[in-house]
Amino acid sequence: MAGINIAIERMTQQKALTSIAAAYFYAALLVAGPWIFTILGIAGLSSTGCTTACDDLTLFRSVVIYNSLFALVVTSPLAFFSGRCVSDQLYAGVTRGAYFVFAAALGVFLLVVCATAVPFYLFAAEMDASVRFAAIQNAVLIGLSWLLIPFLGVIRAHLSLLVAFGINALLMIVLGRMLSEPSAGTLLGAFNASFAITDVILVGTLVRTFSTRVEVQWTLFRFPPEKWELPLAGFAYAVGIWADKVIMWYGAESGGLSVAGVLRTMPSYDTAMFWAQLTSIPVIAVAFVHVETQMSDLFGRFYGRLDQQASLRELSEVMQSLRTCVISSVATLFVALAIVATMTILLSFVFMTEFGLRPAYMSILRISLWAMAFHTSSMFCFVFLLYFDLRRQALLIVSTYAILNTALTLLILQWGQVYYGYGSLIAASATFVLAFSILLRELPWLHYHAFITNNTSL
Amino acid sequence: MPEFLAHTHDAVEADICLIVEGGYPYVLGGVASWMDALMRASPHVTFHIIAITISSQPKVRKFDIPANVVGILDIVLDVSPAGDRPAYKDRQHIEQGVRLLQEILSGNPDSCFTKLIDLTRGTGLAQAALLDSKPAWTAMEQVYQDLLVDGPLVDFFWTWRFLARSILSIITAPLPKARVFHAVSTGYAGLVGAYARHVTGRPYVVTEHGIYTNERRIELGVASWIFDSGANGFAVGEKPRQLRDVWLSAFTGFSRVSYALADVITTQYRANQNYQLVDGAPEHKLRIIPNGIDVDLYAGVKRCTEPHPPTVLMIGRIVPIKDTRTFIMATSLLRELVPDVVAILIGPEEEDPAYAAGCRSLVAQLGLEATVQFLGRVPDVKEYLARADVIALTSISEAQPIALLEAAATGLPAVTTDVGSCREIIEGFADDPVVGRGGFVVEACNPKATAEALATILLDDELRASMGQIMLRRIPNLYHKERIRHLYEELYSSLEPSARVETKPIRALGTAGRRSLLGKVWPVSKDRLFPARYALER
Repeated sequence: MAGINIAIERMTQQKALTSIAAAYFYAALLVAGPWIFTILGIAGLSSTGCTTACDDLTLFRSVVIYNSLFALVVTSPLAFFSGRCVSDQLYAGVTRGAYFVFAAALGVFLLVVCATAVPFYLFAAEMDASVRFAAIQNAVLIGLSWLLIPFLGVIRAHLSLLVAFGINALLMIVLGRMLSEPSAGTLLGAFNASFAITDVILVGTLVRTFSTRVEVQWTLFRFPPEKWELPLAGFAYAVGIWADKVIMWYGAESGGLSVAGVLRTMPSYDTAMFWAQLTSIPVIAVAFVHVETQMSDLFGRFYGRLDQQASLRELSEVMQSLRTCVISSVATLFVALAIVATMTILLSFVFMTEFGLRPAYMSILRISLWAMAFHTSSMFCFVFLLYFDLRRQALLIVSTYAILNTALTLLILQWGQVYYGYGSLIAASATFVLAFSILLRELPWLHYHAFITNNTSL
Repeated sequence: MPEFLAHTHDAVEADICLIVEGGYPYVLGGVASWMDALMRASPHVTFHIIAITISSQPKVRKFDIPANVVGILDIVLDVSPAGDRPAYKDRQHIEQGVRLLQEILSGNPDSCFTKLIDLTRGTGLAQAALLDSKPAWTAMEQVYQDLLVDGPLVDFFWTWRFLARSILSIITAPLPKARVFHAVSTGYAGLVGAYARHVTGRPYVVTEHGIYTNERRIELGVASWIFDSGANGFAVGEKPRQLRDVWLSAFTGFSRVSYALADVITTQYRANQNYQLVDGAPEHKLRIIPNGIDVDLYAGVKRCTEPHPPTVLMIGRIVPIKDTRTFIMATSLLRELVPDVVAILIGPEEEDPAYAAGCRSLVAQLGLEATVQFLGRVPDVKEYLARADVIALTSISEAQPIALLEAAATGLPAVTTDVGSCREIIEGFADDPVVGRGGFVVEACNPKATAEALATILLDDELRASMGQIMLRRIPNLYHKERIRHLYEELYSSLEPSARVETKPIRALGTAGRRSLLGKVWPVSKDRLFPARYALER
């Protein structure tokens, strides 16, 4: 990533305001482009409006939400695993195994789809046969795109990602304009068609880079025992994000929405959480442009000085800069997120209607905005720890959040509607305290980790 | 039976446990041949071998194991057991362990080695605690400040890691049962001997062929993998400490440990004893036992009387320490004085192929293709000794070269550098019953002096014959293998076990890095145990 964020950072240093704005907009697209474009697309498709087929629209949204949940939980472990595997291979100058890694990850994903999503839609959900088929197809297409994202990230094909998801969004918006009173099957068909094109573009980029030759790499099978924490961290990360929502869907006394027999959602909670998460994107973009660039630069300096036979004193100076960079970045980003959360709370009454929020949602929105500030800050700590390859510590953070979010949401759910969202807030704040503590504890040991823990020569 | 001995690989107690670093039975060379001869000379004495090696070295067995060897144990220096997982309460032990390691590697070990053995055996701490833990890292940073401040950290790290891990590997090794432990050098072999002495209470003899620290000093002096730092910049007042100093201090420390715990310290000639005294060997422990050869076998070699070109023979591995290049350059100068001279090089080239290739290319550059012959290994060296007129030895370091003794036993005069006991062999010593010189001793790395000495012998038949006669008389008198066998057997039988020091048996350390059994001997190594150039990967 270093290459592209250096280029963006240079754009931010120009004097023209338009250039600075364009830089951050581009960075935001890079860090959250697929998500933003998918949301835009869904909004476009949903904009058909409804007079008679409103249940179909709800069913369509529910299927997409469930498939997003399913895809994140299943693909995150695979993406953490395969992304690191390919990244290590590319660092070692080996590219021939990358396509095999992707094929293996895809194979595992499809197996899980067959074992879970297929019986779920065929036997548990109550829907038409065409909708069942489209829902399964939808799960595969969303999962496929999420599996492809880390691969394209590793090869720095950011533009391909933007183009693929941009076309996706555009197609959905256009189809949304063309359709009139569409059925759930039609909406899912349109969504799937757009995602199929996206996936084709992404696969095409991958093929262009690695060729279609699948060369079996047995090292892949040796990877999990060595770095078992990575897939587990991916799983815990995904579970942590969705745990409170699923509990709310099935456990909340009021505000739930049920379609197709088993598909339950809770618009008041989901919408508030969604907007809260969306507000974090500008800060993530800033982190992407400035913090990651600085980290990459300092890491390069550290290993560069190591190659130049530097003394402990010289290396300690670089490590001190790295420590300062990390601590100040986490603190600054947290303050920035807190300011964004506060501003959004203060301004939420202004754009409430436009953004689909109702007065009843506002309490949850306020809580979820603060939860977002803590959770996103924890994730910055998580990313920093992964940057230092401190996998167990990183796993501890996401696992803590997943467990606390589940337990506290379940516990506080019983206290009634007034406390909805507090479980997530307390879990996020406690996780941030833990994550920052771990970061503070490990930062003075960066030499030790570079020489002992993460030294592949040992 | 002590508990730690119950864990050894072979139940049979050997009379002698011979400890060798990077040699027998896997590498050909002077010391390995000496060991083989020693064991074959005393078939009624049983031996157990401890072979010290590193994991990355090519391993091909080069010797047939004699019937009186009851077992072979490999200690792989770069593999050591993890030991117990360190807990918070172990911090002090870890700091103490690292300090003890530092003292040993600083060249002033005193009783640190035995304290370290007791610490690891008492606590179960080993590599995981003393090298891989956070407290160990902090302690290592302090060691760095003491030993190589402002030097390259990455180089110090690997040096520390290799040396410290070697010590841990040695002091956590299982020991075979033996009545006497006999290390054939100081260094790592000497450490194993000292460890065995401390743990078992059995007698320990160390024999030095060459002086270990001197040989390492020579190797370190030319080692290209050691980075000379510019730590003091343009300041010329104070010489900065270099990485090679750390290595040298460590090897000095190993020797001091070895000398301190040995019951008897032998060497092959008087000059070496001075070095041993300087390195801290107590004078009352010192003895001289020279190398022994099969004098009857070589004395029976009939010198070639048929007309043949003047022939100079050099026997030895084609490696830098033998300074084969000087021999080739001397041959070039010699050809001007003795135009029809033939120079024959016998010895393996595979140990340092780059150096051997350089020697061959030097021969081509000097136009000596018709004069110099590289024969590699030969089935019977006596055939070449019979046809030669003089043997040359241009080594920059030697102990008591067997090849020189064997050549001298056939009545061949010699031209050698002034290294090891070459002067004693050629010129005799103060109380030598055989008076006279059997050749010339010249300065090392001096092709002109070597060529002139060789020419003097080759061009003067009478001188050559008289020098040969002196050699024929001197060798049986001092270096006959029966005499030497008797000396060693007498030494072994004179040593009595002392009361064993009570130490707790080590816990949970396993035997990683060791292999043993007689039928399937693990191959070893070259005789230098420095790590290859290393790299810290991301």
